[in-house]
Amino acid sequence: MVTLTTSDNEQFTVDKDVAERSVLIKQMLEDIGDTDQPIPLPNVSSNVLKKVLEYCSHHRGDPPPPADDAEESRRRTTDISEWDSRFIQVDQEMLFEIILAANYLDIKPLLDVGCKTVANMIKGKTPEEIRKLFNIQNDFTPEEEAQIRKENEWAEDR
Amino acid sequence: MSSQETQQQGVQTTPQQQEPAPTPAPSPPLTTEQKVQVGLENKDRGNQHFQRGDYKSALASYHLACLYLSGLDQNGLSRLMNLSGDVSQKEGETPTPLRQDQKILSQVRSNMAACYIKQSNYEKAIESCEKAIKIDPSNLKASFRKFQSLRLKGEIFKAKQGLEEFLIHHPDEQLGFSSELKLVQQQVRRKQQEADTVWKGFLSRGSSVRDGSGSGASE
Repeated sequence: MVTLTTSDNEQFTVDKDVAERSVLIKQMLEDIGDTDQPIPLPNVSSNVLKKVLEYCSHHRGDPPPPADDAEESRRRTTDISEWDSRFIQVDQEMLFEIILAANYLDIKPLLDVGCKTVANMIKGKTPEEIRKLFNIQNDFTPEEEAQIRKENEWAEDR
Repeated sequence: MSSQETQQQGVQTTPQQQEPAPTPAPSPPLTTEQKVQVGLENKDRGNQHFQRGDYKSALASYHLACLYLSGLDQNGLSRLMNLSGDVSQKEGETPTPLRQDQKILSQVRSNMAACYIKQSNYEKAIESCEKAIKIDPSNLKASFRKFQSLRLKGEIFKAKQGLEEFLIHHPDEQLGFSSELKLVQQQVRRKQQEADTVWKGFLSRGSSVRDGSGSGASE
């Protein structure tokens, strides 16, 4: 068993193979051996870790993620498995927190699920819609915007 | 407000926790500065273990340092999603200067590589160096250790090529890297001489190679 401590000082004790879905933790345990010392995760809060661990337990038996050369094909598709897509149905704030945690903990498949979900949210939307969706301020001057529109005219669907 | 909060927390008894932890007051999450500080402390501790030759303890401290120093990028998300990233950094523009935590994290990864080299775990050493260089490309020690690990792992051609290319881009480092370069060049020369003797007389031997299907079938 491995104990993890969150940024808000909550402790989670989970099976080793669940915790080791995180490459960050896996490599640490490889180097220091089994430990009963809690592992601090100062950049993950308890509500996010709870969610991340839910993912890790469901995927505990998965084969290790493919090596780097397979990464391209893995990223090219936006398909998400049924369980994963249900898992990732959370509010936007939580979605972004999960992505950050997956990156921090080095859980590549979860990072993919998160990023693909965001990609799917963006797909087919106009710049205005995307700005509204992610609360992005339009920092272009009208002239700049006109210029960019002109430059990218060829890419627009008509 | 805070006293009321702590009182409430004291009253609530969670069934799993029989004994209160030695630090009863739930401390607020650390600020970024505090995380950097804790990371730095663990790095120093790791260096002390390293100097004593206790590489396992050194690695434990360095790993802790990584836990505190990673993921501190405030704009992490937009960088991850490539929302602002590459577009803003055009050619000729100087990259944004590294934050302190990135500098330290890169050093920690590089020091971990030093531990792995001592443990003869060159694969991990290379990986660790690459992480260090990715965070801080100006971390020359990490580059040095990467070439050293490659050589020790036996990938001498890769080591030589990498080192020579590196020195083209960093001509000022000739001095510091010269002994490593000599070592690897020596080994490459020896390997080539060995290969030469193996292949000498190859064509006259003839009989061992049959109609072109030769390579790979021998083992």
